[in-house]
Formats: sequence, C-alpha cells, structure tokens
Amino acid sequence: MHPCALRVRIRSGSSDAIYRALLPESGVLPGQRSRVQVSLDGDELVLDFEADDTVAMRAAVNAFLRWVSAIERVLERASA
Amino acid sequence: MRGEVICLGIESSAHTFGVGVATSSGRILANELAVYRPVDSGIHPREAAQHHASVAHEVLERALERAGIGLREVDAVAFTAGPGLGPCLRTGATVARALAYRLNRPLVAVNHGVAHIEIGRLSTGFRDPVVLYVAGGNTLVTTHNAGRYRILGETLDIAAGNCLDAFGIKVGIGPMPAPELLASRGERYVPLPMKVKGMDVSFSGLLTRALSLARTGHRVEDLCLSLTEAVYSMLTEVLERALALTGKKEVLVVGGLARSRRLSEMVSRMVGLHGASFRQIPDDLLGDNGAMIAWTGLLMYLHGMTVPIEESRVRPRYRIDEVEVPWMADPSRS
Repeated sequence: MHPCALRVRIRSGSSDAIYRALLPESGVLPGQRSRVQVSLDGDELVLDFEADDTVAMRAAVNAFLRWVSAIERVLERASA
Repeated sequence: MRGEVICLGIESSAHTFGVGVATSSGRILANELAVYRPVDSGIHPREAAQHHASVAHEVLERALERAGIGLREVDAVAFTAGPGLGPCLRTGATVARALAYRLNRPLVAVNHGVAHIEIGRLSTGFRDPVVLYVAGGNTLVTTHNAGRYRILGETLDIAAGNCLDAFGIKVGIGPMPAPELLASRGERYVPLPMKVKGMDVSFSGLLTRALSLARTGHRVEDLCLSLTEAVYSMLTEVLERALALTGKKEVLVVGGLARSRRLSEMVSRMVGLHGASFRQIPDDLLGDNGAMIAWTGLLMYLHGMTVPIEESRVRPRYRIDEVEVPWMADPSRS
C-alpha cells in the first residue's frame, strides 16, 4: 500500500468549487487500483491517495491534478 | 432570447470533448468540439482524458462566443454521465460540477445514447422513431415504449464501429472513414460470416475472419468492400426486424457510424419497402457532440430531472433503458 498526501494551495479563489467538483470522485478510481479522499483546509485542497503500486499512484495523482488545472482554467472564464 | 431557458452541455465520453448550448425553443446556439483521435491505435482512455482536460476551457470559450452568451445566462449545466470511458467521463463531469457550483445552477446528468436519439428527433422532426444507434462503442436498436427507450437488439460482443475501426487500424489504413473510402475501390465481394440472432448481432467473428483473409493476400480494398457490406447488411436486417415488429413509421440512424453514406442508402431502401420514412441527421450532430447533451439536458431540466453535485458520479456502463423519458408522450396512450 502506497499512501501519498498532496496539499494544493488554490490561489484563484476556486478552492470550494474545485473541492465540490472532485468530491464525488472520492473513494474509487478507474481500475480500482487506487483510492482517494478529498477534503478542504481553507484554501488548500487536500488529496489523500492510497494505491496498490506506484504506477497506479502516479496515474491517480496525474488525473486529479489535471482536473484541478482544467477546472481552474474554466472558472477563470466564469469570472471574466 | 428573453423567456427562453438555456442549457450548457458538456460531452466527454470518449474521443471528443464537446460543448453545446441549447434553448427551450429548440435552437442550438453553439456546438463546438475538439477531437483526440490517434490513427494507428485505439483510444487510450488516459491520454484522451488528458487531451480533454487541456482543451476544456478553450472549447467552452468558443461555444460561449458562438452562442453570444455569457455563463451567467445559462440556466442549467448538463454533462455526459455515461456510458463511456471512465477517465474521459470524469474530466467532463468535474468541469460541469465546478461550473454548476460556481454559477449556482442545477446540474443534469445525461445518458449519451439518449442524447444521440433526442438530437436526432430534434433535427429531423421525427416524433417516435425506431432508432439504430451505431458508433465506435455502441450498437443497438431501440424505440420508445412505456416511458423509456427499450433495447430491442444489440451487439453480443463488439460495436459495429469498433469492428470497422479495428480492421482499418490492424491492416494499416486507419480507422473509419478509411475502410469505407477504400471500399469504393473494391472490385470483388468476399463472403464473410454474418451473425444475426433475432435482433442481436455479433461482429467479432466477422472481424477475425476479415483480418485472417487480409494476411492471405486478398486486396485490402476488396476486404473493405466485403466487410462494410457485411456489417451494414447485418445492421439493416436487425433494424428491419424492429421496424416490422413495432409497426412504427419513422426510422433514424444515430451515432458516428450513421455518417456512412452506404449504410444510409441501405437503410433508406429497406425503410421504403415498409412504407415508413427515413431522414438523415446532419453530420455535425451525428458524431459525439455537446449540442446533444445541452438539448437533452434541457429536456431533463424542464422535467425536474436534476442531480445534486454530490450524487453525480459518472456511469461508464449506463444503459439507455435505465433512463426515464417523460417528455415523450406515450404514443400508445394518444
């Protein structure tokens, strides 16, 4: 079991929207070789990963960070 | 646009990331997309999802510009809940949830197959068709009955589009439309095993045989001709059985493979023999697209079928008969 915790400080003011958008993805990920718990600590998004191996870990981390990035760029447009 | 309800729709079930805008008067204000399509392999879900995440904001931007609206004018946000590839679906879903939350608008979870049907009905004016849904990942025959789109027949193994794409990729000509383009240069029809069981079809044996013939020196053009004729004949046959059984008068073919001129020609001829009508859906609404999600999302929203963000998980195996379709008055009762 490989645990990995990421704390991502969201500077754009979108931490609550990102948190809500990712929360339904908690628990189970494609292939079920990894699991994640999503929580919010102020303006920091906390992602607690657990994976069966480091390959699955990397895939899960990549997926979540990509979604954070996509959401931030989309929400920039929402504020414009 | 005063008085109209506006729905934003996000599609990301497989190779296409699409954003559409639909209004309650049936107007499609925008239908923008970006497609990830490798020519030498099938779709890798994670790479496709990576593509979608990187283009989401710009496709959204294009759609809003095309529609001439701001996000504040959107009344509901719809997304493809399924069926499709997990990582791809999740990319559109997370973006849609974030937008719904930020804009404080309801979220609508749309079934991709139902969306293909509904945009088909909108664009052709057909009210109660028998539908052949043929795409890379789906093949089924359906019609509305007792409140839902019922599955009358489907593939027992792979989808028709998958069969043709896989053949093209493995023989080195690339996925559709390459096999169909080469079929027009075919000179000889090579008999292939067509497997139709009731209203179900099976393509994997057909694909295996075609590939093994490709290795024994048959012209690839002849095999493309033979394979496409076989696949389209099988599809036309099950569609005909459904039409004869239901006695309905309208027929649609939806999904990416509906772009095939040859399939449309076969279906059109068959439909004519039964005294029913067939209409071709415009190309830009046949492949995966955001407009169909926006339109179907709108129909669902107007019927109160929204979902709380925390309950909006994607459903990679979502079947069309799991969806209530209250906006179609039950024809048997009218």
